[in-house]
Amino acid sequence: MSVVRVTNETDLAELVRRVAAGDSHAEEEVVRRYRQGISIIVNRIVQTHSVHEDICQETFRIALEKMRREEIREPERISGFICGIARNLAVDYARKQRKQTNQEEIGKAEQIPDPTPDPFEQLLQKERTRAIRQVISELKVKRDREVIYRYFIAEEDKDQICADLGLPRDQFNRVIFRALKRYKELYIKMTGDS
Amino acid sequence: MDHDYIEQFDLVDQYLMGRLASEESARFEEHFVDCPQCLDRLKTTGNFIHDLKLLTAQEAIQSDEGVPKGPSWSSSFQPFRSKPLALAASFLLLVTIAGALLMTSQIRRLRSEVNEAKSASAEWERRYEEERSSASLSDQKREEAERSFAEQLRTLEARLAKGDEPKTQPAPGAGAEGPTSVESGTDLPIHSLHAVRGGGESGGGMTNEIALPGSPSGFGITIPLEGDVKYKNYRVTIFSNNRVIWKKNDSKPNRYNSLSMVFNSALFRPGNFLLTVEGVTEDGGSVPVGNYPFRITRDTGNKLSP
Repeated sequence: MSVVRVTNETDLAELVRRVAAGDSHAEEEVVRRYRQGISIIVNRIVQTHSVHEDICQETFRIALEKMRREEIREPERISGFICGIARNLAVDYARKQRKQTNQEEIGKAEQIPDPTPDPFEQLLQKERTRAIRQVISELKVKRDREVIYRYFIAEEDKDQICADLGLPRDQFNRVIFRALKRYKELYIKMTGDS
Repeated sequence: MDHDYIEQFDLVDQYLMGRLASEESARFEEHFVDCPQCLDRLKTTGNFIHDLKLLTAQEAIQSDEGVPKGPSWSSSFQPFRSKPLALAASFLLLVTIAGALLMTSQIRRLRSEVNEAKSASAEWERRYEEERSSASLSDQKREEAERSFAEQLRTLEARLAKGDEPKTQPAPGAGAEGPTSVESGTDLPIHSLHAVRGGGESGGGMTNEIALPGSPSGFGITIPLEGDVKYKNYRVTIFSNNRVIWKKNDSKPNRYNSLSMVFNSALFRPGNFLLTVEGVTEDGGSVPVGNYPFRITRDTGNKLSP
């Protein structure tokens, strides 16, 4: 048995039809195909690791249930449908949390990290910190470090930074691109994850 | 949604920083959830931002706790690295703002006072100018009238000198000494006064009479001085009920040794008056020359009784 890969809307509709027909490989393909994207969507709203995982699983449970019951009106737009479920679940959770803690706004809720990361995660985080420190230390020009700081930490507007530093936009993009590329290299080297 | 659009508008960064509108965010999600290229970029950039923030936060905490771990990468871009510095800066900022507010308030108050003073000053200046121009106009009119009367007097005196005596009209009961009230060729009546020894305002029965018309008009008084010219200037004073109603300190005698004055009839009400003449000496003193009592009447024509 092999996982079926689909590449266009027609194939997406076929994937949905196969799930409805009870094809377990098609269900695996749905999860494999959307897992990473759904994780990013949920992570942007809910950052508590355990809750994040629960919401991702609940998203696929609901989506597959709907597919099995043939309740998907537009099978070719299954991507948007699954994204919608994930977003709604995450926002709903954040809203409930906000009611309880009365502190965060929608979209920024639940910023408190998991208080007890496991030892593996702790080790991984240490490695990642080392990697980012290395990336920064390799930026020899102070202006490049300032670009990174103001854009990603201070979250200033790109045009404003370019204007302040007298930096053309393409040069700004090159600074960011080089930093991300180097970080990715170190990350892959560190985790072996491609 | 294509990759050119995503690149052009930095959708990956904007999405991760939460800067996209919800509609565009949903459209982008629908795209990237099924796009390995975008997922890769989202993952790399997301991890980069996460780790960068974590590193910055760790360094900030270590800096606050005073743990020497080498220079912080972001320290030179942060306005205030430590809590005490931030507090000091906040305090300074507050003091500056409070000072600025206080100064602004004081400046506003002072400006308001200055404006009030300016406006009061302008008002006074305006009034002063008005009064000055009014006084100037008044002076001009007076000078013109005096010039006009003086001209008429000169004309009359010239005619008298040529022997061309003006018509005279003796007052009822007037003596044969001749007329003491004259009328020139102009409309200005001239009245001549004679001295009365020891005469008060009543004149002790001997008085000059001047009849004035009912309506206000000008008239002249001429006083023939006795003997040679003794003084350059004479002081002429007119009394009514022992009260000075008119005075001139620098009356000069003409070549006929007479003093001439022009009055507006409105100055006089019917009744008795006393005109005194004093010579003004070189040292500013005065010497009595004569008393000239006269009576003013109305609507009886130009007449004079010695």
